[in-house]
Amino acid sequence: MKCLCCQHDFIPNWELSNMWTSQNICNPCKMKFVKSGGCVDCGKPGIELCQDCRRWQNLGLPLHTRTMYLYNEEAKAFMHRYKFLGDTVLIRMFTDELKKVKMRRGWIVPIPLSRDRLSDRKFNQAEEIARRMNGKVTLALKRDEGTPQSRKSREERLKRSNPFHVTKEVAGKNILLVDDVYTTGITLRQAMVRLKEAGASEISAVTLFRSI
Amino acid sequence: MDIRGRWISAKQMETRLPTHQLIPAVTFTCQRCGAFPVKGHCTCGKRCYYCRRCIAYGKLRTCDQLITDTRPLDPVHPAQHQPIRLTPAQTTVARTIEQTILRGGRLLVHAVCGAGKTPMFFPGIERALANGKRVLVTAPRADVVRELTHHIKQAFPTAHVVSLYGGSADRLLLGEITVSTTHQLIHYRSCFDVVLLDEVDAFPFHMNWTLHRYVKRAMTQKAALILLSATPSMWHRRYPTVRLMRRYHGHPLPVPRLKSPFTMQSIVEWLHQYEQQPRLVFVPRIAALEAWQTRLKEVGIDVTTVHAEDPDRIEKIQAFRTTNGILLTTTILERGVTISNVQVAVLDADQGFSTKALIQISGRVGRDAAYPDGDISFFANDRSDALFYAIHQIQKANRWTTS
Repeated sequence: MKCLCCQHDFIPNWELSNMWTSQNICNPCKMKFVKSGGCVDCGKPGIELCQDCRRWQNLGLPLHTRTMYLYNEEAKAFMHRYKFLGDTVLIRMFTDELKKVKMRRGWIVPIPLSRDRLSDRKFNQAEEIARRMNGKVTLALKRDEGTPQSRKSREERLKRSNPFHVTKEVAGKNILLVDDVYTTGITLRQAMVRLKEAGASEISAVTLFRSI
Repeated sequence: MDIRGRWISAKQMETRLPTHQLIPAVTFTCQRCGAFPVKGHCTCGKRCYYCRRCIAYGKLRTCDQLITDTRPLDPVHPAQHQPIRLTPAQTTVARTIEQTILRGGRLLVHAVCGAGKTPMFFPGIERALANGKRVLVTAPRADVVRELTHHIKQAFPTAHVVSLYGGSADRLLLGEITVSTTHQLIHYRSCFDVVLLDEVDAFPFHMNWTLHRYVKRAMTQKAALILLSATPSMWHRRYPTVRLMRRYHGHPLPVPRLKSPFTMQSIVEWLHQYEQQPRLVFVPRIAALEAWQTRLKEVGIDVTTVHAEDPDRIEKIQAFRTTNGILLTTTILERGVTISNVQVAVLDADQGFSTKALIQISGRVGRDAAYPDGDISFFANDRSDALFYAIHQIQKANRWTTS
């Protein structure tokens, strides 16, 4: 079988325990991604509750975010291929992990792209991640036009006004927000604020990577 | 933008002219890379996929199109090369290259490492330009291309020289002389009447049929193809061959000395023997680098290591050129490095080194006319065919006389 990531041949491990998993990457490729874990709210390694999350709690905006992997060099290379080169099938290598995220009654809401970016890139990377999860994906948010975020510093990001709008009836719903990379958590909080205003009941989040 | 002779994605072209021609981008085969596409499902919602093989050149989907201009290419202007000095043996080879270029057809130039291959094809290029033929000089490695561009720009100051490699400024341009990596030829179709293909046996061109196809597509129907190599494979030796087994300074190739069996002591002795000179030590695998580094540190010898995935390998090699240090390396340095007065050792030469690699490694020694001989030692505890073939072929090359 061809590895999805490095395109080399590998022999999948056929055992009864992983009969129903999609083994589409080889073990060396799998080992490149390091599981995050530590901070209870954001998964920052080596700390019980990190500074950022404590500050958010003091502001009254706690958000339980499950981050899956650390945003190391390999993850950066992955994001470059996936997001900027547009190799969308590459997300399938995380299928097994993403399938474990289940949302029975509520909605899975991916963080949207602005219209310009979407027409540029032709796909929303967060939506692609959300589609691989177990649950109902609902596009309940809209984003105003603005400059891309990855170029901005932390200060600029915090100052920026909220670009999100709720487009659907979310009152009393449980909501799971999905994004690709968690850096400061500001984007997710901004979306959370808008959803709370619209009357959503419980909000948590899942991101693929935690920036270090 | 002028796109005659090139096929690019239609999204990159804003304007449409009546001479433009459009074709679907990914059909049964990918029209850009020419291979069966490794299909990646597209997210546009239609029945659509993209080619994952050539995604590094930009995403190309089934619903995209490729565009070209069907007008003929501009005529080529003749250019003179600067006077060069060739040995009689080199002149003979240069004349054969010239004849092949005029006649069309194929030729393999089998010249040893350090024979001075580059100046040999300058008269040929000059003759080709005078006959209105467009010239392509291509090699699979970017550092080789950069070096070739430097040489050719110096030799042909009046000609329009374009250099293509990943991240070069001349992307998608077409010159009278084009110097390019084989990968960049993916956009070019039937433009070049003369193709000079350097280092045919090098990775990644060796056994990579996609890259072979890029070169083949870029040639016109009656193009001349000249392959240059120091260690051609049997596959390439079927072409008419011209040989040059003497270095440009006329001295024989240093013959490897086989030290078998060897101990740690013999390596340390060898390293101490050439204390005043830079020393290159080759090991078979990346994993062996660290093991040897710690082992040598125990006896008090400091070494630098370098391998393909090393982020600052270019700086390390650049630093090594100026000092009398020891560089421990894998086979990435087997080609394209010229270090004056270098001494080379190959540790575990019986394990994992091919004949080709060993000949190329031996070719690092004594390239400078000021230091025509150096020491090349193979340390081996076992025997392998590759080891003996390499030594045999170097001895055979030294016995060669012009006939």
